[in-house]
Amino acid sequence: MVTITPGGDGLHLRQAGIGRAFRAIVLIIVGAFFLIPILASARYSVLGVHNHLTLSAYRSLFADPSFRSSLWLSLQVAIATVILTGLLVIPTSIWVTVRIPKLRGLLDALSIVPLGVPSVVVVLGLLGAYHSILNVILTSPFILAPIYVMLALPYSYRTFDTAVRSLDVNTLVEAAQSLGASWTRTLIGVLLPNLRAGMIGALILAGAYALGEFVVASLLSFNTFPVYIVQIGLTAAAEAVAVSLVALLVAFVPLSLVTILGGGRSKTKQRSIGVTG
Amino acid sequence: MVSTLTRNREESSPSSPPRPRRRRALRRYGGVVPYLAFLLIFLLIPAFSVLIGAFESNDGKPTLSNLRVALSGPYLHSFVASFELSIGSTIIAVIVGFIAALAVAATRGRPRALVQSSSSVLANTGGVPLAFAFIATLGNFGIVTKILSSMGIHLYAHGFSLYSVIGLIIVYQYFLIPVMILVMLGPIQNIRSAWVEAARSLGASKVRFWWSVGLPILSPAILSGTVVIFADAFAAYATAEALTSGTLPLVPIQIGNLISGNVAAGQGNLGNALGLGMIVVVALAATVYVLSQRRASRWLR
Amino acid sequence: MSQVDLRLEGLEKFYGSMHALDGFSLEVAAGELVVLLGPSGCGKTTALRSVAGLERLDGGHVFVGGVDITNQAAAKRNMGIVFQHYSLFPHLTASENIEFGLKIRRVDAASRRRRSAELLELVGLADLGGRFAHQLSGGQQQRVALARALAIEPSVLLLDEPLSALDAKVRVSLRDEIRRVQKEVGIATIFVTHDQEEALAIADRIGVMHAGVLEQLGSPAQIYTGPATEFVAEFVGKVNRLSGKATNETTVVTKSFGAYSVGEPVVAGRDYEILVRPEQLGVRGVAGGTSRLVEMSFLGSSFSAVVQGSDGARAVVAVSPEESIGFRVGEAVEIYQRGPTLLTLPAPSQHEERSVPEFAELD
Repeated sequence: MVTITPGGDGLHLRQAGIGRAFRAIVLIIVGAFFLIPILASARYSVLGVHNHLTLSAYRSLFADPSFRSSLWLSLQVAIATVILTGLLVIPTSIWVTVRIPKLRGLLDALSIVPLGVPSVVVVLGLLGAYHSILNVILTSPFILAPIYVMLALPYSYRTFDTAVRSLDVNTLVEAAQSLGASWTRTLIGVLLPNLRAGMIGALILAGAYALGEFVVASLLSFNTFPVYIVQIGLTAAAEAVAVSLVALLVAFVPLSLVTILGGGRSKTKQRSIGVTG
Repeated sequence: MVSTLTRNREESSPSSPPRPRRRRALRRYGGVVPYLAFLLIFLLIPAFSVLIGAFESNDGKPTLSNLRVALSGPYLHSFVASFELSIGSTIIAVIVGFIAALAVAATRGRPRALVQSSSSVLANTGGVPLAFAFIATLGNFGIVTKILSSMGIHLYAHGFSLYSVIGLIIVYQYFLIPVMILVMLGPIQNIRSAWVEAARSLGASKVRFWWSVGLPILSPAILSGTVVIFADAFAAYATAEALTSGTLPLVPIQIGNLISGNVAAGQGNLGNALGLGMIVVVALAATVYVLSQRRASRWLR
Repeated sequence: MSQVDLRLEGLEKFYGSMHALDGFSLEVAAGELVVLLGPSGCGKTTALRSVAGLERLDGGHVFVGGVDITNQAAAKRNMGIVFQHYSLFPHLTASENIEFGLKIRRVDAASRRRRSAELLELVGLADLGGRFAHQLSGGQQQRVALARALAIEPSVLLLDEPLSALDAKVRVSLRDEIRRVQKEVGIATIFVTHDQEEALAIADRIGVMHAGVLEQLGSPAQIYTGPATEFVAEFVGKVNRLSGKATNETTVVTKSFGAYSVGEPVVAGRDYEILVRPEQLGVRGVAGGTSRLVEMSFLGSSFSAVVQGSDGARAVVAVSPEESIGFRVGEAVEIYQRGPTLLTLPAPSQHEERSVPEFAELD
C-alpha cells in the first residue's frame, strides 16, 4: 500500500506562491523582531543607564546573596516538580493506554483543564479552599512543586502521552508478556526505553515551567528566581536586565533539547515526495 | 485493544471463586486514582472554591453583589482593558504568526528546525525576563527608543508608553507569535501537493488556490490558534506585573492585588467573582479549541 | 469533447545529474489511451508531469492540437489530471470538487450543477454528490477525481498511477470503468502505471519505459508476443531464460530442456540465451528423463509447473488443468517447445552460476 506523504520539503508551498522573496522578507522582519530585544538586553546590561561599558551589573549580580539563594530555591522547586511530574504522568499515561484505553479521551481532556484556569485564579482558589491549613502550607516553598506539576500538565502530560500513543504499547506488552516478562520488567525494560524522548521532553517542560514561573511564587510570597528578578528590577534596572538575559538564554538550552529530541521521531514520519517513475 | 493477556488473567479462572466486583474495578481503574486525586486537590477544589466564593458574601450568605461589583466601575474597566489587550494581541499575533508560519514551512532543513525549537522556547518563556528585555528595547532609555529619537521620532513625547495596553500588546507578541507558528506549522506542512497541483491544473491561480482551498483547509487550525492565543493573552500575568507592578488595570492584576492585600480588606469574594469571570472567558475559549480540533482531524484523514 | 492530439518531441529532464527523461518522444491520437509502463524511476511520471506543466523541461517540446504549449503555465493548459491518491479537496463535497474548475471558469451555478450531475452519472456515483472525501471509499474518490478532471472539458487526460493505492479487486473493476469513460468521452489519454497486467488490459498502445528512454511502443499484443528488448520481455509477463548452444541457423539446443527453433538467425557453435514464455512450453512425463518436476502450483485457471534440469537450471511451464492430472511432483519429465520463442540473446560473456529460478516474474 502506498502511504500518504505530506509535503515534507515545502515544495507544495513553493508551487502555491510562497517563493524565495516572500520567505526572505518575512523571515528577516520577524527574525529582527525577536532578535532585537535580546541584543538590546545584552547592550543595556553592559551599558546601563549611564552609557559606559561595564560589567558591573553582572558583577554585583553574582555578589548578591539573594541571587544565589533565589536561584537555588528555584532549582530545588524545579527538581521537585520534575520528580513529581514523572511519578504522576508516566505511570498514569501508560496505565490508561494499556488497561482503560476508552478513558484516554477523558484523561486527555482533563489534562487540558489547567489551561482553562489561569494561575492567578488557581492561587485564589487554593487560598480560599485551604485557608484553614494555610499556616501549614505556606511554611514550605515546596508547596509550589505540586502546583507547578498541575499547571504544567497540559504540556508535560500531552508530550508524554503523544509519545505513548505513537508507540504500539499494547502489542509490545503482549509480546513481552508472552515471553514471560513480569509487569515491572515490561515497564522498565521495554516501554520506558522506547518512550525516552517523550519522557525527557515532558520532564524538561515541567522543569522549565517551574524555573520560570512567577505568578504563583510571587503571590504566595516565595522568593524564587523570577520573583528575585522583578524585585531588583524595581531598583536596579541594569542588573535586572542582565539576569533576565541570562535566564532567557539558559531557558533556550533545555527547551531546545526537547525539540531536538522530539524532532527525531517526527523526522522519520515525514518523507518528501520523491519523483517516482 | 486492551491487552488480552491481562484481561484473561482477570476473567478466566474457573477454579478460583469469582472476584468481588469492587476488587476488579480497583484493578482496572486503580492506576488513575493518584492522578485524579491530584487534580481534585490542586485544581478542581480550588476552582470550585472560586466558583462558590463568587456567590458568597463575606458572612457566607448567597449573594450577587460580588458579581455586581466585579462588573461595574473600575473592575468593569479592567475587564474592558483585558479584552482590548487580548483582542489586539490576538489579531496581530494571528496574522503575523500565520504569515511567518508559511515562510517557515516553505524552508527546508536546518533553519526550519531552528525556528521550531526557538518557537517552543519563546512560547513558554516566563514573562519576567521578557519584560526586562523590552524595557531595554522600548523603555524610556531603550535602544530602539533612542534610535527613533535620533531619527526625529520621539515615541514618549507622542504619548506612547511601554507600560500601557499598547506597549503590552507589542511585548506579548514575543510569546504569542511563536504559539501561532507552532500551531500552524504542522497543518501547513500537511497540505498535500496533490491539492495544490489539482487546483492549479484545474485553472486556479496562486491566489485562487489560497482563497478556495488553502485557507478553508487551514481554517480549523487558524481558529484553534486564535483561541489559544486569546486565552493565553487574557490570562497572562507575569509580564504585565513585571512591567507595571500592578498599576495597569487588568483583570489578572486586579486579582493579584486582592490576593496580596494591596486593596482594602474584606473583599475576598470580590476576587472570586473576578476569578469566575476569568474562568468563564478562558473556559469558553478552551471549548472552542477542542471542538475545532475535532473538526480538523476529520478532514485530514 | 475536443478532438485534439498530443505530441511529445524529444523531452529532456535532469534532476541534478540524474537523466530522468532522455529524448522521450510520443504521439497520442485523439481518443487513444496510451499507457506508460515501467518500474519506479523510469521516467514515466516525470513525462506525465511535464505534459501537465507540473515539471519544467530542460529540453524538448509538447504540442497539443498542433500548438506548442511547452512554456505554458500549468493553470492555463486545460488538462485533466487524476493523481495517485487522495487529491480531492477535503473541505468540499464531491459535487463541489467537480464544479471547482467550472467555478474558476465562471460557469453559472445552474450549468455547473447540471454538469457535475452528468459527470457523477457518468462515473457511476449518481447519488453521492453530497458526500465528502472522507465519506467515500478509495475507489469512489478516484471516480470523483476523474469526474473533476473531465468537468473542464480538457484536451488531454492524464492519469498518474490512479489505481496503485487501491485494493486489488477495486483496481480491476475501476480500470474497466476508467477505460469505458475514456472511450465514451473520446479524449487523448496518457495512463501511467508500473502494473503490467493493468497496462495490457486497458491500453490501445503501451509505451514501455526504462531509465528515461522509451524502449518499445506498440499494442498490448505486440508488446507481449514481440518484445523488442530484453527489458521489455522481462518486464511484461513471465519469461524463462534457457541457455544453450546453436546447432544451425535456426536451432538452439539447451542443456536439459530440449531443442528450440528460434525466430532470429543464430550462428552455429555459439552460446545463446533463449527467452520464452511459460505458455509456449509444454511438459510431459518421460521414463528415465534427466529433468524432474519440482513444483506444481495451482493458480486458479491454470497450473504452473517448475521443472529442474540435470544442470540445476529451472524453467516454468504453464499447464492446463486437464494436462495437470497425472503429474506427480518428483517424477521425471521433459520440456518441449509449443510455440514461438520471444527473443534470443547472445549468452553473457561472464557466465555466472544461476541458482535462482530462471524465469523473470514481476508483479
